[in-house]
Amino acid sequence: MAGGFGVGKTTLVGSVSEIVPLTTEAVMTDASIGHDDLSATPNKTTTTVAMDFGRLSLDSDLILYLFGTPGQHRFWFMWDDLVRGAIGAVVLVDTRRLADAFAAIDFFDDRRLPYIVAINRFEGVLHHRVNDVREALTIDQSVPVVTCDARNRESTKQILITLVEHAMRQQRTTVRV
Amino acid sequence: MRCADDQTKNHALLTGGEYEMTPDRGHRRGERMGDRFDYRRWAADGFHLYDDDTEDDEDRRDDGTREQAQPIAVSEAPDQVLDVLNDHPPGAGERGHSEMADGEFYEPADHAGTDIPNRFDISGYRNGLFGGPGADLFGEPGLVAHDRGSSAWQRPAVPPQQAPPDPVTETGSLVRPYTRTGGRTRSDYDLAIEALVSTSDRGWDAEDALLPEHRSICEMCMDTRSVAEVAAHLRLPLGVVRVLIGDMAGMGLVVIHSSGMVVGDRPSMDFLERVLSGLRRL
Repeated sequence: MAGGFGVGKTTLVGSVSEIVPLTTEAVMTDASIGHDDLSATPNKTTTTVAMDFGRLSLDSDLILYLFGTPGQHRFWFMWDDLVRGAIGAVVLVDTRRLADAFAAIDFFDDRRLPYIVAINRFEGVLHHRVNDVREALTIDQSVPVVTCDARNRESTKQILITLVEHAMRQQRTTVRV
Repeated sequence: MRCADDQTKNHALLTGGEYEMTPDRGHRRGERMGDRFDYRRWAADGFHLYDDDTEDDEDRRDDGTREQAQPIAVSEAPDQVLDVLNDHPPGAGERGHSEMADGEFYEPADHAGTDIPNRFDISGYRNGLFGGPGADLFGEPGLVAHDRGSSAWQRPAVPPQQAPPDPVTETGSLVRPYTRTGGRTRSDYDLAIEALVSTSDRGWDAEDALLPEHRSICEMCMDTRSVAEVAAHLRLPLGVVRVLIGDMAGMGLVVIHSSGMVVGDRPSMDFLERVLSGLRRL
């Protein structure tokens, strides 16, 4: 789960996890105000400064782990760890701050990790049409762009299914090439 | 020199202990640092320690004849200061200040010799030294000191999940994280963060686990869990836990489960299909 600061990654993980997501959150201090732009999400008081993750048991011997990437750019060193062996990534975007997603998309394109884009509908409001978002993010036509409600378990489950299907499609294409 | 009264002499003996050697300094120190320490007088003097004593020394050096008269002046002067402070006209604001000072700063005379002005509370020191991430690994009752005899028969409950500690009140550990690994940051095993770990038969016998961290991990991994979970529960950095688990795998205390379904660095098609059907079943 990647995306900009305050976009709802922790919420997304928590909506579907069977455990209370194990998170390390620190109250944002004055020192980080320069790093973290809170203008669009003025009510958010904390930011994830370490990885948070949830767990989803799919079978007796199959456990899916959902990792939320560190929101701030200065913690990106952890991303390589996360990408290794991962099925894929969900880039969660807030249409009020689309540019926050650019870095994550670049990163997954570079690592050839399958990813989908999920537009979080804040209070049910969709500020852009899905196709506008795709164009603004300049992502490949094969990359699914979906809308979601990060708080909703069914919505998150659907995102995960879309991602796995996309990863399988991409792998088939790769094998054929 | 001998004009100090008996009360003052006792103070000097109790606190400074230098009465016989330097009676006037002992006298002064007894009042400054000992049971008759007066915060207000100290504040009125400008919060200086010993500067008056230094002046006294210089005075003695400059003029030996003043030595005879000086103790009288010394014993009078502080009382005058006190009088000035105590005999305020009882104006409302001033009175409040005076009460506050009496209640909070003025130490009654029954703590002989202990109430030096800059004493500090060291009760938080232990907390700072042994607190912080992984603090429960050291001597915290319950996690390590389980009844070893019973653990082979009944699985001890996994420590209940704790809410993330309030970062404002959390005290940082003074122990560097990689101290627990002997400074090593690499493990023999290439452990993914989601790699599943479970306690081996040997690990169930806690006698084999000598380090408290190993025992904690053995108890935690009686239910299979990932490296990331172990790190989160132990509140240790991921890298530290990787080294610890790698060591334990080498000692045969834990078993690391490889998914065996990864092609290159991507999951295999079979694996993805299993995940997909699992998700749809939810």
